Amino acid sequence: MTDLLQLTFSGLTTGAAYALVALAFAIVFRGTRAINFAQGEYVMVAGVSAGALHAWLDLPLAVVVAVVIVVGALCGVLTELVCVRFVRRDDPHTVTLATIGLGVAIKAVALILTDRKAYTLPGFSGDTTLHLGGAAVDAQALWNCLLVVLAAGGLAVFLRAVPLGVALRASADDAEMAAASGFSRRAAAAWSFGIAGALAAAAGAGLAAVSPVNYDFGTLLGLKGFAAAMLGGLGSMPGAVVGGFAIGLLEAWFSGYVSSAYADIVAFAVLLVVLFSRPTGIFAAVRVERV
Amino acid sequence: MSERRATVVTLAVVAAGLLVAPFAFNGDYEHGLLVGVCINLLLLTGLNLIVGVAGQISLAQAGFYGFGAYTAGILGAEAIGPVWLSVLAAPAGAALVALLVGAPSLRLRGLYFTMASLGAGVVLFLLFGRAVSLTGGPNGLLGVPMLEIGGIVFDTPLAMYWLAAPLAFAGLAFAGWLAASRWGLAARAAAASEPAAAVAGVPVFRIRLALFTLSGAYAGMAGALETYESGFVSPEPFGFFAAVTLLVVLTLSGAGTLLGPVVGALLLFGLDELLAEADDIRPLVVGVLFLVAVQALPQGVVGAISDRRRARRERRQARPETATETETEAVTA
Repeated sequence: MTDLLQLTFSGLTTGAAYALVALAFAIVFRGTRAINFAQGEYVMVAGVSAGALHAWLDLPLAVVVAVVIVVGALCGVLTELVCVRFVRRDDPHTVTLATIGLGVAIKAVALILTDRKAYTLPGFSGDTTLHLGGAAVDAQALWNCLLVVLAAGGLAVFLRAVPLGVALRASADDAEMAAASGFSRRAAAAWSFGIAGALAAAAGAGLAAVSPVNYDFGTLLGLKGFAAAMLGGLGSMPGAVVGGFAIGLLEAWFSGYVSSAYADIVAFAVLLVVLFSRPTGIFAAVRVERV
Repeated sequence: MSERRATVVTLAVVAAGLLVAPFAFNGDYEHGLLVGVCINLLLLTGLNLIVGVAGQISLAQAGFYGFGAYTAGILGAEAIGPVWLSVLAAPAGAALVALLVGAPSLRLRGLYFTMASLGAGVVLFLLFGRAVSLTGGPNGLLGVPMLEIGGIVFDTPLAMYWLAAPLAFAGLAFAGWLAASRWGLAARAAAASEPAAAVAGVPVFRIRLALFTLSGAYAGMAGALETYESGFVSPEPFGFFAAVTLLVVLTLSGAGTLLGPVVGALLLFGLDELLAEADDIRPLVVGVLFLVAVQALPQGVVGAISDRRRARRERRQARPETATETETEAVTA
């Protein structure tokens, strides 16, 4: 029982990060119909720069988190500049391929700048452990879940009540029509990538507080976040949150009860099962193309 | 130049290059590099079948490559069956995996297929590193014996080259023939417009599955050669980055053309040589090259050159008509 509780909390901690990344995938997919493979690298950039900022400048934690969220948003805007504007063709296929190239490049720059060093953040409320039903769990799990609640809630309000958010929804629904009424596809893409970057950065800060992060930790994480987005239904916001936590929990339970060596495979096994059996995911948001 | 003649000339040039290369670049180190070129040629030729001919972007090639390498390595190291059999088991095994992966994934189209191939590739890569009792895990698989086929021991890089080069050439020639055959044409038609091809009676799914399986066999063969060339297998060369690199190089050199994989193999060779001292910069170069390729050369180097030639030819043929047009203009004026 204490095992289960402990595993569940560690599942929630990483699951929250997957949920944030999956939300970011959803936003970009809705705004551009492309899949942003540089996503995982934003998480890495945010995690590493949070750790580095904390180590060099000794800034208060809240400031560090705020700064890296801005950094993440800038990464997102950079992606739009490189993968949509520079490439000059805005079909989703080309943009998706370009994000793979950009992701590889971002990771390479991080490798050179950090020289393979790993960085950490302290827990958001120190190294507090909570004692629940005989299990000692890291309080960071709750912080990470709170980040998801804030992000998902904020997005829900933003997309419904703020004019810009409403325009984004309109563009996701019918890009031509939205463009005709003054909200261009370019604008939709830029905002979507920017928001996605900020979301991924929150995930990065939350993860750096749990374990050391280095230039290499973003790729696999991004791909797992993508699996989470697919499980929930690509483009669906509630789906992204559910998918993220589901993958995090499955992974944690699998590593506790079956094998920790193979735990990384869980997310991709889920991805394949979803693609082969129900490509629209749990909350179908888009029509899937089948032969 | 007719298409068939172009194919024959291309193959002849490649054959001549492969024959001359080991004498032009003499020495064990150089011969080892040349074996690497042949391995990359096999990988890219196989990838070209599914990406270039069938138009389905696959990120599973590195996983199949690794599956072939480990199949050959494990069978060889554990001395299961004769060594030559492990060289055949590698492409057969990788083809089987490709068939199993392709059967459900090729039902999906476009990006969804790419995602499934990515998932399969990552699962294979993770297995290489995690199934420690079988693969040796991150430390690699040791004890791969020397390759011996019918009394001939392939104990020098030059001997390996004389095994790898004919295989790579045969692979290229077969792929060239296949791409020009009615199946290749059907696959291209389906890539251009799937509904149109299906209506015309092309069994789209089955042709794509066959090409994907074949691409797995090529990768498996490349894996077996890599294993016996280096005498060692570790998971590192078969990850996501390798899958992306192969796709980048094929896109950059020209997917869908016969010469594309050849240019690509040389490009990879050049990249390796150029960055031999600076391993850390390699991913940055690959990433930036990819972005430039997507932006400037959507059809690759070979595609861009043949486009330009076609445009020039069309201009030449169009000239007399332009003259009459100006005349008519003059008359109406």
